[in-house]
Amino acid sequence: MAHLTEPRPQHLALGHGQCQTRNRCSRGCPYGAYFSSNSATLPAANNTGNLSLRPNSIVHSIIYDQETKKATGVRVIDSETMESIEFFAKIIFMCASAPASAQILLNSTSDRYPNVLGNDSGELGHNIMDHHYHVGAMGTFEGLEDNYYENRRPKGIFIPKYVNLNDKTKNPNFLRGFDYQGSSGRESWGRGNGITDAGGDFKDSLLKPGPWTMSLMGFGEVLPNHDSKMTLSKDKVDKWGIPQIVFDASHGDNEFKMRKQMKDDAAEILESSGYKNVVAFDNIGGIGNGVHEMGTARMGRNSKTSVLNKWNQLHEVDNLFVTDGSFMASSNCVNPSITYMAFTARAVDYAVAEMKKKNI
Amino acid sequence: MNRRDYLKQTTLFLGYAVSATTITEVMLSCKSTANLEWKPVFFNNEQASLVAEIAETILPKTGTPGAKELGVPQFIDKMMSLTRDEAGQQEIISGMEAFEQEAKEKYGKPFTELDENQRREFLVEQDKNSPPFPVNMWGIMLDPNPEPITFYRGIKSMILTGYYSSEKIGEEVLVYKPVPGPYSGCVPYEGQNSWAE
Repeated sequence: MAHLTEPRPQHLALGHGQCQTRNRCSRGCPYGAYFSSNSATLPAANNTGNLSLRPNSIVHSIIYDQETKKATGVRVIDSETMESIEFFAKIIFMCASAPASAQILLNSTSDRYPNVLGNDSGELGHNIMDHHYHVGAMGTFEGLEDNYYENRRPKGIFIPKYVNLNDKTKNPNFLRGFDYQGSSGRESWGRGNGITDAGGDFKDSLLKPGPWTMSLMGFGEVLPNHDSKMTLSKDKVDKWGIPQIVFDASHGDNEFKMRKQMKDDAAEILESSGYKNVVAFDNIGGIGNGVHEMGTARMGRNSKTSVLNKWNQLHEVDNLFVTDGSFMASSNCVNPSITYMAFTARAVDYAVAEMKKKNI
Repeated sequence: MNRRDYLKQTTLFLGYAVSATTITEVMLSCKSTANLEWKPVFFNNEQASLVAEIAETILPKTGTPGAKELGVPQFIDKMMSLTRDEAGQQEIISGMEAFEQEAKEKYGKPFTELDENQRREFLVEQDKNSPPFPVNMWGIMLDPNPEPITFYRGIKSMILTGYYSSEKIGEEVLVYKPVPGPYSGCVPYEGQNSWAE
């Protein structure tokens, strides 16, 4: 949970204030304590004096000049007027999300230039990864009824990855690993849904805190797989005339084997800690359930097997950068936004240096 | 299961999946009519009165208000009309009819004409015969093959939600701190009511 517990002067200057521990993050934080573009990065960009925001702009495609081998601009559709407008720049950064950036690149063709932009490797739109979760366990604790907590905490606990770190922790059944996010508290009135009762005593008992519970939710790494892919529909377009995305992606054997361990370990952790009524669960759903889609324009040293180089720069087009989750070559098991932001900052730093040297 | 079915299934949780904001808005709009003779927007008068009597049997007036006094039947009427699609609305109506039929078969008269003990007995039996809600965490449904949610399981959940998330219970009965202040993970518990979350 990216909430700011100790704001520094640079945060306060942006209006990015201290967390008030109200645990109302999902409503949007009026203190700017919960990290978001609105509370942190847009105000910082605005302070440079160089920011122009153009709302209602749906990016249609990148404009490419075959002669110079440079991206020269971006074509957008105004979502209100449906007007097609072109913007030109010396350098372009794409940060539209993994599926959307791949969609824009896949759509950047024309009759004159039939090749999809940046797809010499054939990997664009492939290797879609996510995090698989909805697996773990929960239990109740008998005792500690004389203890309670005061006020709210907008976060829970985290158990870092502990398998496949080295030879000693190697698991023979699967590659890579998982972590757990969890939470604990005393049950509230909601427990009444699971109590077979009705009447005055039932009603009043639900006003009191119930037993302590603990839940562990596993988050696992998804391996890259060339066959997990997105393509553009040949006949369906969205309301702005952009071809719709067709997803064809699924979890593999490694993920299912890992989940068994995730489920069993969560139950064992709770049982050995003295929890009762431990219930283990596993409901995998599809790729995308984790809302951490990534990998659609992967990074690599070899331009024959990857779309971007180590600076998030297209192997084929040196003034075009992609810095959202598209670039990820593996998914790890932790929430990815901070990694994307770090790579973005690194790529920008590189791009500025290269521009100063007149290399881009 | 594809993602769309999965999400659809998740929203079956009446008391879990509806956002706190929706509930707040519906509750606010109920407040002014709570203690009046009211005109339901979704139910007919007979159905509204059945919901009201089920709610009052589960949560009767004691030292704290009963479900009717807090406008819980009105809350359910509005939730039905504003948050359920046609299929979902039809499901509730058929569930209600089956519920009424069962009461008549067992007692020879409609639920609303039963005495207090019979009502409670009948509801506890309905509760026993309804499978529990599937396992969930953070409002996420975690059972890949959930049993269908019965009329009684669903309506009971809405009744509890309407009652315990009401302004009256939240501010005056549960322990309400509008400005919570720093979190403390371990304080003595001395029998007080829960925090209003």
